[in-house]
Amino acid sequence: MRHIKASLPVCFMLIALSVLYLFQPDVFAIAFGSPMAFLRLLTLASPLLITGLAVHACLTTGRILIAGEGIYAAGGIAVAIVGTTFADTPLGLWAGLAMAFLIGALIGILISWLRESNGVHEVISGLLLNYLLHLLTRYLASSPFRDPTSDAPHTRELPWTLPLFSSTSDLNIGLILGGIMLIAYVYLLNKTLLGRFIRSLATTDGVALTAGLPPKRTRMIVMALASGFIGLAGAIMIGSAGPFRRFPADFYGSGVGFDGLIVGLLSGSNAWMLVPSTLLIAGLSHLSDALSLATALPRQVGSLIGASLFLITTIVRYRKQPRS
Amino acid sequence: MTLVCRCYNHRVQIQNERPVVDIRELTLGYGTTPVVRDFSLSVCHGEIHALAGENGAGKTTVLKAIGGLLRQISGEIVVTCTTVAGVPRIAFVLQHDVLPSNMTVAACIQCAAVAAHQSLSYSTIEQCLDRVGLSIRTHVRVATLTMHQRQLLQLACALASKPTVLLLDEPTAIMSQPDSIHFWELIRSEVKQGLTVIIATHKLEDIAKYCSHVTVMRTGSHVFTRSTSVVSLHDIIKGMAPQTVTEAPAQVAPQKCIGQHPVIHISTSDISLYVHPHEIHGIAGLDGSGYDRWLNAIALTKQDGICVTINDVNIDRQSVAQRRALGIAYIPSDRHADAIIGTDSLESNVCFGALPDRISKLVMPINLHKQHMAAEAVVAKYDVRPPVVSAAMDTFSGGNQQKFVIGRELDRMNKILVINQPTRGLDRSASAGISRKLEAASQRDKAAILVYSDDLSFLISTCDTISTFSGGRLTQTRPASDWTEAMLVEAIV
Repeated sequence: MRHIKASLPVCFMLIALSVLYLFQPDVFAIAFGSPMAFLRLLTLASPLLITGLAVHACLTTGRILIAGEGIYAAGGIAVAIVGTTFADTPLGLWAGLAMAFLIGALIGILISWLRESNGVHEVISGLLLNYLLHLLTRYLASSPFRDPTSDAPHTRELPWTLPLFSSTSDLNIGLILGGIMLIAYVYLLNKTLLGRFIRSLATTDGVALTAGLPPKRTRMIVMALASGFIGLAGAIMIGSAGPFRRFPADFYGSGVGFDGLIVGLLSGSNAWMLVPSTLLIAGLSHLSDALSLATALPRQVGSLIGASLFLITTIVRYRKQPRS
Repeated sequence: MTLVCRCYNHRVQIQNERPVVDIRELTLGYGTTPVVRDFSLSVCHGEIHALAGENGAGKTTVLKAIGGLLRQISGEIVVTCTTVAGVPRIAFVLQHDVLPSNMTVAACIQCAAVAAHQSLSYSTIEQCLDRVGLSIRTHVRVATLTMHQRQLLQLACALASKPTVLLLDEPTAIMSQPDSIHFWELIRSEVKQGLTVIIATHKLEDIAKYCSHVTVMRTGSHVFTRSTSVVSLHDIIKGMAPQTVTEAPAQVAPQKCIGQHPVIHISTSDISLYVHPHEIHGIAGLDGSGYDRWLNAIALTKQDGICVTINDVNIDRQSVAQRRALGIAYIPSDRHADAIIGTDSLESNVCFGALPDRISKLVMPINLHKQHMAAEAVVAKYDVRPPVVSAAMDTFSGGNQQKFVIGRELDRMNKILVINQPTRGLDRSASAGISRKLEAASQRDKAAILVYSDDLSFLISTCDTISTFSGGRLTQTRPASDWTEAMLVEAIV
């Protein structure tokens, strides 16, 4: 049963692709039938992998990081502001990325501190912070840091761009960052003593505490790093070429933070399952675009399918165990 | 007239016949490995029926099967009600409580009472708590209760469900002697009102004194069932493990520490306690007597008004990790919450207990072969049963988990050992084994050992010195040979 649950994202992905190929070959061709389409899928998947991994890391310590959407936007606005403010210095790029990570980490520390020291549940504080960050980023992009030369509310264009893999797509270094993070994370979690202690936090604080590893501080560090990397993912997305490189006022709501939550939950206890889970959710998003192009169906249909799959998976994964 | 219905995994017959619980050729196991084989037992109405056996004999497994928590591989369990109108209700007090920590005491009892189709008022709930000797407020959350209080709350919940059969797994393991006496008086009064009790316990004196029948188990098999009026303690011990009968009683350790510089010095404004190398220093006290603050002051964090020095270095401001680096090992009383991860395998649990001496080792790959060998060594040396290091900790009995945790820490050769309730859930033979291992650790590694236990005979037979706590204070310190159990009880109550 454990193996069946673990392979659910892969199963769903294969079934969905088979059904699509059999009944809607045109849509399949648009969505997955060309190198361009595949690059587009990977572009969507790279920030999702980072946010999903961040959510997974927090879940491993028994905490839910629900503020991913807000942190992703905060990372984006941070790089936009720092990058345009220090446009003339060569360090503008790195300062922007560092600031995005720092802002994300600080938000993570705030959420974790509220939970560990004051008992405020991270889901409540995370949801409220999401709303706050949504309003704040929109305000910053449409008022004090708005591009005065444009009618649309967004920040000024960044003077630089992060390296891209292809001139025909927006696939950026986020994919490499996500890959490296995943390998490091799997190694840490499965092969090291620190990983064992971190995993023990999902069950009890006592084992780590008795051994000398402070559970609250460990959770705070994990959430800070996780949030920092989500902020960095937002910064990479803004700093890459394509429609972004400037922070639009409506950036919040891109869905990466919430989709990352689904990716993290779908992956269960096996960190390697983050890869198929990410491809599944990114594929659905990609497919929605292809569906709306090919059949004029609203884009929300894809989201609806994604939500349904998530519901089924959650029911199967977390349903009450039968008596053994 | 017989009504047969399906209740969890066993057949329930409502009829006017005895016995109340009839087990026929039962085989039980976790996965495909049988733990209990061809076990048969009949328990009649109004009995207090004890299951005796060494750790790992299968007592808890049998109780789980009767309680419907474990499906049998083969055999049959028939639970019979004594009245036609009545419905048999089985209540189970587990060794490790399963009470939801975020619920209040009142909510727990009300939930239990739902099984008896009752709605209890707060005054009735207070009466339930009084009956089991639990003096706490009804709105207190379970998370704030001590292990002992949770155990009593489990019992209150079980009785609130108005059971016809009550299953008890080591209920007195964490109780002090006065609490234990109160517990048995309560059970006896409930039995007079029609309750049937099946209890798994290691306290053989309690079996002889309070139980009507005893079934002895050995390595998953039934040895004998007799009335306690015709069986002696010697027979029970012989039935449990024949090799332990001829074993010499643990010797009182000689005074080895006179003239040595103390390793541990704990002091308050008016009194001090010293523990020397080679010394096993026992602590006796009731819950709430303040002994736990002294143990925590050494092993975990600073406690108000208590100053601790180790080898003349004050450690009050040191973190837990720094204390472990000084060689202070700690074996907590609540092994489930603080010492092991139940879902992980035994060999995975070997690496818990203390952080490595170098922080860099935290992120280095674990040597799985070394870990496996360490697990095998602990299992062999401390007789952990079954000797399967790949099995999840949850599948081991409480006593075997305890043996593993103690073995893990003793094998690390720490200079200072702080142990809270080392014999909880252990049978006589295992307790004697732990006693010998502590003695060996104090001799071999010059370890200074501070041990708290509510098993007073264990303290007297194992320790060099015993201190008593009462009313939040350290009251007396004397050589163990100067104490008797009666004197200790008088000193701590």
